[in-house]
Amino acid sequence: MAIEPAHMSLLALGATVPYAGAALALVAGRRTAGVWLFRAGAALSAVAVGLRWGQVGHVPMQNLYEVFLVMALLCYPLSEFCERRLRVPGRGEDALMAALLLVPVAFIFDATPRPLPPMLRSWLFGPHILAYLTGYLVMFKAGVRSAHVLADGGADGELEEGAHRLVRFAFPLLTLGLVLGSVWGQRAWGDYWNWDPKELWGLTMWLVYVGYFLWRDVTGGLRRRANAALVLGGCGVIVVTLLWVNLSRIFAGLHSYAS
Amino acid sequence: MRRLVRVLRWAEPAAVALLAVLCVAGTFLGAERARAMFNSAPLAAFWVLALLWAGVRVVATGRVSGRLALLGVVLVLAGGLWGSASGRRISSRLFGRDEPIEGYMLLPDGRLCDDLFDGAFEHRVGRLPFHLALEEFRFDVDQATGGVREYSARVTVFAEGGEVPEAVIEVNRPLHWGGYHFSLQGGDSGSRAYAILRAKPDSGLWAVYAGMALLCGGAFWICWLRPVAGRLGRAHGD
Repeated sequence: MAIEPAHMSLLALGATVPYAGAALALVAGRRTAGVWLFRAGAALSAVAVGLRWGQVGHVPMQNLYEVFLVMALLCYPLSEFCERRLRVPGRGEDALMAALLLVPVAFIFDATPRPLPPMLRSWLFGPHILAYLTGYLVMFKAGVRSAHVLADGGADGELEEGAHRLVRFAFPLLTLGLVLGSVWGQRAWGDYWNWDPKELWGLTMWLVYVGYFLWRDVTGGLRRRANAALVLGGCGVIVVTLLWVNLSRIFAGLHSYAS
Repeated sequence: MRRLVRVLRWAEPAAVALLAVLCVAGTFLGAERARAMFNSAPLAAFWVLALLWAGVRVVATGRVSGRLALLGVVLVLAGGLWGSASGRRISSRLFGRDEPIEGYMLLPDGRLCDDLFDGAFEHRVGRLPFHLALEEFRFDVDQATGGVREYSARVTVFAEGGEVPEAVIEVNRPLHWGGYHFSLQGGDSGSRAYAILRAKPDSGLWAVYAGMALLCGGAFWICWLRPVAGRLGRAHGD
């Protein structure tokens, strides 16, 4: 199927509009309109991901263009899950996150489809990336709540408890991503750990959250601002892993196909 | 005693923080120098201490889920130490057998090889206890894009007692034979066909895999199942 990169970018831009509209409506208290706009954005994202999948012939998570496209799609179902199951609200912020994720998809990242290199042709490709992307999004949501905790000086205990529930949900996904990546590395590169920069940043991120749990254990969870600062620190490492490691020439290594 | 326990409880997050800082430093050093740093004597002592501490915590922890995760940490660390160059050296002396060496092989078409080299193929680092021969190297080309979909090497293993039937090594499908994993790193077909393989001993690998599985299972149990079980228990209590 021949789809121009420019058309894909227009579709991504098109999905940004209902996401942004949802964020505005939800912040303004128009809950029903906001939820339906959020769903419309998710539907357009699903079309974009589906078209891209058909275009490239493999699960579209090879480069940053595709990764951000899939993350934008995941925002709505994760938002609903966090609201209903984890009792952590924030649909407006989640819709805004989806809109922001699609901006570089529409304007910055290269949309040219590329064939999947042999190294990525593994059944582990999809689960490894998907575990990480899902974990990242939930951790970002926890980071937003943690920023609120810091802003209000830690007065609202429910804000911090909500962030903790999100971190507790996402941490096993990050662990699974790390483990699947190690198994894949053993099969593809002959070693489950190669001290590659991406691997070390991934381990750093995981250790930040291990440290967060140990810190909470030792302090009884009572130091809300410190807890929030640790969660935000973890988010910072995620941003570095996603963007800087993939885009910078400083960190060339075995994972250098994400751009 | 209470003060000692409090100090030891703070040691865990401090050790994790230290390891995180070292990982960040390692990213700027590059893979080879990071590998050398994390395998240096001071960090080897750190890994051994961490292993012993995790072992003590397995015994001291009350909850099964916590024990599971900590046992996973013990196995990953133990497997990693056992599979390291120093670990393989120690195990060969303990059990009186040849030390397995890791390295890279250049297999020209039709020749028996057992030499292992460093990553730049500048220095020979050792020999395998058996030989490999490349029968065929092939590319599988994607007709639509013209790019390489897959490449594979068909090899035969020659060991004491005769040949081992041919094995096909593909990217993401290594050969496991004789205590080694052989993964395909590159090659070329044509009149001067060759394959580049990475040979890595499997010492400690199964402990690492078991540890990763327990660590992952423990994380899901602690973070997903335990809170749900707690809520169900409270609901029934109500």
